[in-house]
Amino acid sequence: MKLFKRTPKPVDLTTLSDAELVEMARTEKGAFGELYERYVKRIYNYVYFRTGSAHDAEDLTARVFTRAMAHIGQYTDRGLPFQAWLYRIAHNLTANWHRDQGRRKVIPLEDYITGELLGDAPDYLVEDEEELEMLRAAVRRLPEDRQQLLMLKFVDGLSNAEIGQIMDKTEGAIKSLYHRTLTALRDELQGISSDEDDDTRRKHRS
Amino acid sequence: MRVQTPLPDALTAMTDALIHGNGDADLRRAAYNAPVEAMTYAPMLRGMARAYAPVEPSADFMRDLKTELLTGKKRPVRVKAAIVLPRIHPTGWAFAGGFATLGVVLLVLRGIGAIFASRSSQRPMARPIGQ
Repeated sequence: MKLFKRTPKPVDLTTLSDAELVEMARTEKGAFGELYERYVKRIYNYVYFRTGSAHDAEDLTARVFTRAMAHIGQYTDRGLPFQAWLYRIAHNLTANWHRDQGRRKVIPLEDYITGELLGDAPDYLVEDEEELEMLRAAVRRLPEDRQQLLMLKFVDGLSNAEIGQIMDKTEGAIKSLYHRTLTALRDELQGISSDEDDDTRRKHRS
Repeated sequence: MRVQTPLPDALTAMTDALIHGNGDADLRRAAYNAPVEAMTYAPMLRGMARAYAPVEPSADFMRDLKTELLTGKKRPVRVKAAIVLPRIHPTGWAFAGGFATLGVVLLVLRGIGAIFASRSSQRPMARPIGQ
């Protein structure tokens, strides 16, 4: 006869794979908490750079995880890892956000704040930030899928294979799209800088 | 004979080296064997890595959202207000300001009207018409 009932050892969630956690999360919220910890920063970063606003990034990140939690019972890993599924939700919500923003143009608050802070910054920092903003503006002019690719590459640091799973393309197709995207971006930036040079020359002449 | 890495492969390798490796040194190493043209992309890749350097969400936000997800306890109202308030369209603020100003003007006019009315009642009555 057993005097003491043996209690099962608590599972260390951090050692489990995403697929195992997803299975557990269907019945146990703690498992979803671990998935949340793994991906919240990445999803926040993806949304932040797609919207350009910390407030909207918080709002959309909350919606991504609320939706993922509500639908985790329906998620099945048919060659689509949990990470890719989560990014697809984030992408869809961000696309809806852009569609709504297209109807009413709102300048992100950060633009004012950054502008004010830079007013007191040394010249070289202002120039540097201006260049980076020019680059971000050029990225924003790219087609939707190319912007998504650049965010997943630079912000989230994903490999071509992982990006392929999210964007439903092959690894080779992503590699090729990345090459074309960088070439288009480089050409556009060279066009901008040559326009600026022309302006400067004209100013010097007059 | 050395086989040259195709440009699309080189660009992917350079980016991955820049992001996951030790920065510029690894980028140059990844560009070795690549066409000369590959290095013309390097300044832009460095710029992209700086322009899209990861940001950290606030600890309060992450904690509150986790609590909301796991316990169903809603995030504090102040947090939601902080999200909503800056998104109110400037036109909305302009309308609210306009209505407030109009209200104040009407109140002032009404006050002035009341003062004049009380003064005119103290004056002697004018003679009725026709007398």
